[in-house]
Amino acid sequence: MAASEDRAGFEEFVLARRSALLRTAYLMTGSHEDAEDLLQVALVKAVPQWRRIRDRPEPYVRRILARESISRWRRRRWREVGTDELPETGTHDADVDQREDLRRALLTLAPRQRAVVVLRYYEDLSEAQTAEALGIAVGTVKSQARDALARLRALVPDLDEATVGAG
Amino acid sequence: MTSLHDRLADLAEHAPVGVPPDASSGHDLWERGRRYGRRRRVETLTLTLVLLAAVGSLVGALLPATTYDVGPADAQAGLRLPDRLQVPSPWSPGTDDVGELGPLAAVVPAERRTWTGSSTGLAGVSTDGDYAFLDLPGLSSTPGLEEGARVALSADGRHVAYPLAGTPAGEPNRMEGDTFVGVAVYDTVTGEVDRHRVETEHGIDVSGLVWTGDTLWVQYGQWDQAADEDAETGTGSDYHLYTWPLDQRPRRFDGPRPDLLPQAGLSPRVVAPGARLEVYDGDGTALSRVLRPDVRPESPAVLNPSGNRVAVLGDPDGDPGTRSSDAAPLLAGVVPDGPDVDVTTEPVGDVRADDIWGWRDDWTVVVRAYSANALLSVDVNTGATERLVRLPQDGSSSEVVVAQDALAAPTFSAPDAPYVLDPRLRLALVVLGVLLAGLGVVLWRRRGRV
Repeated sequence: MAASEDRAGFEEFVLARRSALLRTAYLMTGSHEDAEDLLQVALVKAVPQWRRIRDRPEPYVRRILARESISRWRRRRWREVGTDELPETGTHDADVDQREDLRRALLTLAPRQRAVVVLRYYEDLSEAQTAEALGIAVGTVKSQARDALARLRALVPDLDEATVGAG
Repeated sequence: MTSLHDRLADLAEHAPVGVPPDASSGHDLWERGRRYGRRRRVETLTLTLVLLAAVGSLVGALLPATTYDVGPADAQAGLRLPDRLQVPSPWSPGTDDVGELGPLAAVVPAERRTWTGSSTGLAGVSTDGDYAFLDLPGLSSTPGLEEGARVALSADGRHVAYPLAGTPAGEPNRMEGDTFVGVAVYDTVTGEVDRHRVETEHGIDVSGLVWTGDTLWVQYGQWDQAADEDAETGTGSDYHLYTWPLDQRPRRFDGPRPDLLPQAGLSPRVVAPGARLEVYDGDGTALSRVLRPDVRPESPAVLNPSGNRVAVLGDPDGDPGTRSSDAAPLLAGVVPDGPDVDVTTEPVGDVRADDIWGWRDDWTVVVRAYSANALLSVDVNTGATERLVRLPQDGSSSEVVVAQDALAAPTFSAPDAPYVLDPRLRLALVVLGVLLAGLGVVLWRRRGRV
């Protein structure tokens, strides 16, 4: 396949999947700006590998997203300060409150825990797939997920009522 | 009831959105990705080259220091004289590692280190200029070089005689260091060691080892008391002279001048009682000639191989009543025919020297000059002087022993003594290399993952 066809395929992929990937990135970063930045980095890094991954690019891009979100935290130490109690938001929309509670609770997690939660319970990856995407052991995925869920339940009490899906 | 998946999806759906994507964003990302890819390839290539250069440099530096091959011993190897003698690396291999060196041009006492300490070793110098420590059983390893002077190298470089350290029957005479209980002869070609142990209560004091042809002359006395006894009767018995022809057993020499060791390298026996020289034929007991030089030297005159010239060092300061450590004038004289003759000597130019080591041929004497830190060859007819062998710079140079035949052999440009890396440093470098390699692999894998 010629380089122009590679580029066309890449651009087509970006156009089709950018929004979905951006949502994943948002959950991993908790910030739209950081999510945009993270996704751009992931896509740029996917280009040199495009010929190899063009048939199934999304798992590779998702893997870069997850690992980059963790390594960025290591580099920038941009981990948010955790707190056991969420602050009052001042809004009275119940749905908005719920979303904000969850977003803030996610930000209290360590980046790897957050990535595990997003991949396992948003992307619906299996434990093995999550482990492969993050380059960690399946046992680590289990323990990280257990700790993350315990923390989320503690910070967002109504999560107890929510069924932990996926698996 | 909603699942966590639904809650996360809801959160993601309501995330603030920025500028909606368009086709140009994909194009821009593609170009950035291409540049990123090129940069990564350059970085990868650079890293690879740097690693290769580092590994290559390390291997290049270590290989000469870790691999040191010595050719197999050749019994027929003709002696050659290296134009310089050096103190080898204290980590140089031993003959147990590299095998026998063959006939030796010289032996050089040198510090020998191990992982746990150091001692004084004896390095052999082959006819090719290779160095290896002689792994001699019973060789004294007492620090200090004084034992090296007692090592005798046969004229043909084939045999090394040395005092044999061991345990006497009773308490040793020496408080520190090794006690000698005999003499041993090492064959530089076969590696065999012929030991002659002496019955001794407190050890023996070996006062001299000299080769004349295939016969070793040994002079030693018995210590007559242990180290912790009071010295009431002196410290030893009389010294006796023994002859040890190869393939025979040593026996007490009962001929004339039983207290004098012969001059090295001259066969059968030349001794120097006082200023004169006495030449004995046969088994060293039949006096055939007496030579009386016209000087009273501080060290004996040395007869040339044909017996028709002597070389001798004169009095350095011209005052017979004082001894001087200065270099002395070199004198030489022709030996007239006759059984008992006077020898008239004359200065050889203005040559001054510190020791006479032997003759290179009938007209060329080999002397040592401390000022030049070298052995010089001096034509006794013309006084023409050339540097023959450069000696080691450090203090061990006074203990160097050169085979007498090597003094007459052709010289060759000696290679540098091998630099042998400290194995502890080598291990540290290997560990460092492994760590660097591991780090490289980790970095490489990390780069390959995303």
